[in-house]
Amino acid sequence: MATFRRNFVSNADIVNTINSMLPDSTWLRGLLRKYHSGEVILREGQENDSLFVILEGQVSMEKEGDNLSTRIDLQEPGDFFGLLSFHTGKPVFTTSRAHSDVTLLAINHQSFEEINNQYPNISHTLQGMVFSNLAHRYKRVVMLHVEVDNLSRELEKEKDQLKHTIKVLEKTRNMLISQEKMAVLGELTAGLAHEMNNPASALLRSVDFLVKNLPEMFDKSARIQEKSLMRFFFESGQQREFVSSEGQREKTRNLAEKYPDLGRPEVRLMSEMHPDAFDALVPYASNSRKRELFELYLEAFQTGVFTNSITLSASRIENLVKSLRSFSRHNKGEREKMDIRKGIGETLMILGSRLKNIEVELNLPEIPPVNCYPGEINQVWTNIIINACDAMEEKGRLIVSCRYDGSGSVWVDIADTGPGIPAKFRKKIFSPSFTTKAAGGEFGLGLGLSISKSIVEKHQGIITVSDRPGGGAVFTVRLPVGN
Amino acid sequence: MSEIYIICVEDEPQVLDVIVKDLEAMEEVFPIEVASSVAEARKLIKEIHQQGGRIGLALCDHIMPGEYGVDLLIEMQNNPFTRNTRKVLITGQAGLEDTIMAVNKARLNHYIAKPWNPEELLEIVRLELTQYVIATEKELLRYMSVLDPVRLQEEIRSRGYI
Amino acid sequence: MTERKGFRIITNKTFLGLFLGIAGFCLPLVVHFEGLSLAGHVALGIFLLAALLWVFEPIPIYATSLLVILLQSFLLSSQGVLFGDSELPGEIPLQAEGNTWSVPVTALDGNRLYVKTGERTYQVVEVEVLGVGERAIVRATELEPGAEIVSNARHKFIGYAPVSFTNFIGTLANPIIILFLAGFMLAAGAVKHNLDKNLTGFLLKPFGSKPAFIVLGLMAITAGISAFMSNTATTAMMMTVAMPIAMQVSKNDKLRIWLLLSIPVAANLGGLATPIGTPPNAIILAALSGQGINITFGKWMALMVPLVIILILFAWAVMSKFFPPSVKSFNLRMDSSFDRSPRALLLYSIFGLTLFLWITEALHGIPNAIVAMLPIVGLTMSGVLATEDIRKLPWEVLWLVAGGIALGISMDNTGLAAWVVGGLNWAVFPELALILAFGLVAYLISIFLSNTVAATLVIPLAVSLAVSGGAGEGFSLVLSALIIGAACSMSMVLPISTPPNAIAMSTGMVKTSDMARVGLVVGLIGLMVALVFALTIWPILVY
Repeated sequence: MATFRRNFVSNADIVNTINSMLPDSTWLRGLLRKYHSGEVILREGQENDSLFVILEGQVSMEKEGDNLSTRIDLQEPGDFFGLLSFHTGKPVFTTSRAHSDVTLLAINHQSFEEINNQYPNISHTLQGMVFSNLAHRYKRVVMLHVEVDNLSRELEKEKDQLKHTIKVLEKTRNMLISQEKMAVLGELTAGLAHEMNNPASALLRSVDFLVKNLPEMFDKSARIQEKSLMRFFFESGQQREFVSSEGQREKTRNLAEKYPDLGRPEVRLMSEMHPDAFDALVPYASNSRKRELFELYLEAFQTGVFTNSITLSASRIENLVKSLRSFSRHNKGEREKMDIRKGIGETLMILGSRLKNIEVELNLPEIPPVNCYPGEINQVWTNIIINACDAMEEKGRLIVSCRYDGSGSVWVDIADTGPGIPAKFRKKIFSPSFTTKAAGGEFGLGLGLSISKSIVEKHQGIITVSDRPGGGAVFTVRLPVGN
Repeated sequence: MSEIYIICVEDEPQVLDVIVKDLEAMEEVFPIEVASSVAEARKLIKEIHQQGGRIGLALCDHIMPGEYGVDLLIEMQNNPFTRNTRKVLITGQAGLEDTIMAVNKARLNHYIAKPWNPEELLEIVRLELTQYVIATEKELLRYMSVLDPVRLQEEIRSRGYI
Repeated sequence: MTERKGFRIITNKTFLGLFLGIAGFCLPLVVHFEGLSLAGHVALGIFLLAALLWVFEPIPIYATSLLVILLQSFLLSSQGVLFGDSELPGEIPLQAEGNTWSVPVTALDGNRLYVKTGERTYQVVEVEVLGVGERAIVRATELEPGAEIVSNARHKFIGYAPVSFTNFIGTLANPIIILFLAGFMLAAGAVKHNLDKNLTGFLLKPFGSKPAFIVLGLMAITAGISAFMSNTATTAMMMTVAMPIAMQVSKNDKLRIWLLLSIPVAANLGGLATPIGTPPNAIILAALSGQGINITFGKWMALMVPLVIILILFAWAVMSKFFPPSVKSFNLRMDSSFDRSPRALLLYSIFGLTLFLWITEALHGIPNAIVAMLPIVGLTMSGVLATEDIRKLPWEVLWLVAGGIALGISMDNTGLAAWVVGGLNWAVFPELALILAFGLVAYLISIFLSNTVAATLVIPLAVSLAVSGGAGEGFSLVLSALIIGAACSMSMVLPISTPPNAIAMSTGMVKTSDMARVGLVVGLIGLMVALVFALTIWPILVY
């Protein structure tokens, strides 16, 4: 009987011992197995009744995971595997795959008995081998534990870092959105100022005229007895429709010939009157005694014209101001449920002058209100529409449509009849600083669409661009209705 | 002597009304005609040409439905009938590029930004028409009371006759 | 109504003018005026044509002047169709019969025979008619055998010695025309270098800020400048100074009217101060020199400058009464930085030298016209005036004057002027009244017509009257010519009277009634003052 000896058996010893015995034992040699690199020797979960000792090559121990297999260990010559399933009869725990071409000794139960009986010194060696291997494995487990602990702690730290970074990015994104909004506002305000110019001029001057003329008219009117038609001419003036055409000029010329004593301004006013007002005025036109009354009626008419001008101009200004107000709403973290069609309408109104030569088609059926930051969503529309206008060089068609898909999202399509977006740009178009406008252009920070994408994604939505059948581009925005 | 016209091209009727009213004082000598688009303005110019009149001054807006004012002014510069016409842009919405084009290709004489001051508008119109009349008219005395008298006198001085 | 380039618009006035002009021309063809030679009839026709065309202006007045020269050359010259050599009268030698002569009846005009004394000249010889049969028998002591008499006493050449056409077209380069050309060129140089403006600014400074004195200053300077420059250009230039003032002053302030009227008044009057001041002066000088009387530059100024000064002061006083200013004072600031470029300095020197030589003619004896060549050559040679400046000179004014001078020649040598004045017995009128009458007629005509035209129409008559002696010894040609010339320039009643008046009226700030008031008062009183001069100071200077 071999005595228990405390000994350390190195892998090399095992391999050498076995190798030295191989030439003498045909039976041992029968236990040799060879595998090519990459071959699976033992698969996880399969039945196994052999203990494998590696004589040449390397074997990797792998554990199957969700998608990948994780390498647990790489066994060298002198190591063994399959012990657990060999000993317990349970299915293989870890897959063993040949990492290179390997030569193995496969010892099944029978062979094990044989070795124990026939080659007792091998048995000892094997035992020693088993224990040192197990010890080695145990050590590894402990090391792995420690490693895992460290990694966990690091992970926590990184997690915190990441949380912080995300916060910063959020802030930056909001800032950029704000800045872009400022830029947009700037451009819009400029456009708005222009928009307001015309009605403001007309308004101011009409008021000037009234302020100057009304007192004189009152005076004149006080002197003249017969003035029953004043109100009639005033109201006729309010309803005057402006026409500039050859026919109108012909009419004015004929009147000028018919009434050579009247000055051009008077003839012009007469030719702008509706037939009923004109007929009422004619008797006074050629009567030199009724000259003052004639002039008074003409002035009443013109007063009506300018009063109407005031009304029209004032309401235009009111609309513009309303639109601007909706745009300058600051988002202080207030989400609200908004019918985004309203926002689209306001955007179109503010961009009025840009759209002068563009045919705008609206296809906006009922959609549920969307929970959003209205100011930011309007920014998106502004951006897309401005881009569309620029692409069409201010001439063409703009088609805006929306729909509800029945499953929680509102879809908005903004299409133009411009040159469209070449396929190679379609992905890049939403990236920051992508611009085809030279040196920034009027407003080409190049951030516009990327900010729009940012905003849309902030709202958990999606923005894409595609070709419009028939030419041009379509920007599609999908927004979840929100809770 | 053929009539010298002032033409105003502006698409918004309210603004056109105001411009015509502001320039009423000139109509004694310079009749005013209006057009509300570039296409209409072209027809108007042709009519005036056929009737034997001349166009002394064109007051043009820029952004209008259809074609733009600057393009009309450039056309007028290239048309021998309107080459001498004084050209004034009156607008709030011409960008720098368009204005540069107007100056270079249309020989723009003056740019007025909206909203305008009525006295200034009248003064600018008087000055421009004075230039036109000096360049194209033999007899200057009839314009003395309605245009810039000092410039006209200066011209008479250098011509040496009336 | 479209204007076709190159053709004048046919208006009623144009048509009327042409019709009347042609009618006037044809009148002497159908009507025979007793005592007027054939040449005189032709001259009368030309005169009527010219007068009517000048009045109605269907064609420019200078075109009428050129037409006059054309017609004269064509009809009245010795190369023309009527008086060419082929038309010379036939002459026959005298036939003697004892101490009497037998001549064809046709050779006798009453008791006059015409003896050929030169190529185209014939002398009247009065004879005693002894008998008239188939032939006439006459006796005269002056007749000599071998003399040639004209066979047809009524031949057109009698009473008219045709001159070469070069006399007519030569008026275009008459020494007086050359003098005026020099004046125009000096004026053009002055305008080009703003001498007129700078002088104005410089000379106005001492006149302070009280309106009355500023107006006086403006008037004095206007008169001074218009003595050398055209009245029209001077007025326009001064208007550029006066109008800003007038526009600043309130509409109701009479200063406006005073200011704007004072300039044409001063410009018109100032034109009298020098021979080159205004074209009517040329007509005067030409008429006088045609009779052998040459008035030097210096003498003219000595005659006229005092008159002009008095008239300016008078006009100023009159207007200050008519149009008292409301504003108390204002500041008139004018830049006066004289051009110091080499060309400008050259201009100043040429101007100064020319003036000096003109004024001192009595000392050095070089005629005006020769001195006039100095600026003409100097300004062109030095480039002070370039080709386009030469082109812009008022050549049509020179032609207008030339035509006037030419017309005067014909009115004189065809006997037309003599015939016109011969109708009346002028001697019954005192000379003063006659001179006054001529002055008034010139004044009245010049209210409606150009001053030059008025002078052209009236002066030949005065010349003729003086030469024929029909008005008596006291009727001085010089005095009457000067008065007529002065009257033409003093006539500034209506806007159409003179271009400076039209310029003032065109501002719209002066009413015709204002202008008429001032024009009549200044003109008529001015005429009186000039008469006083004519009676007192002028004779001393002239004789």
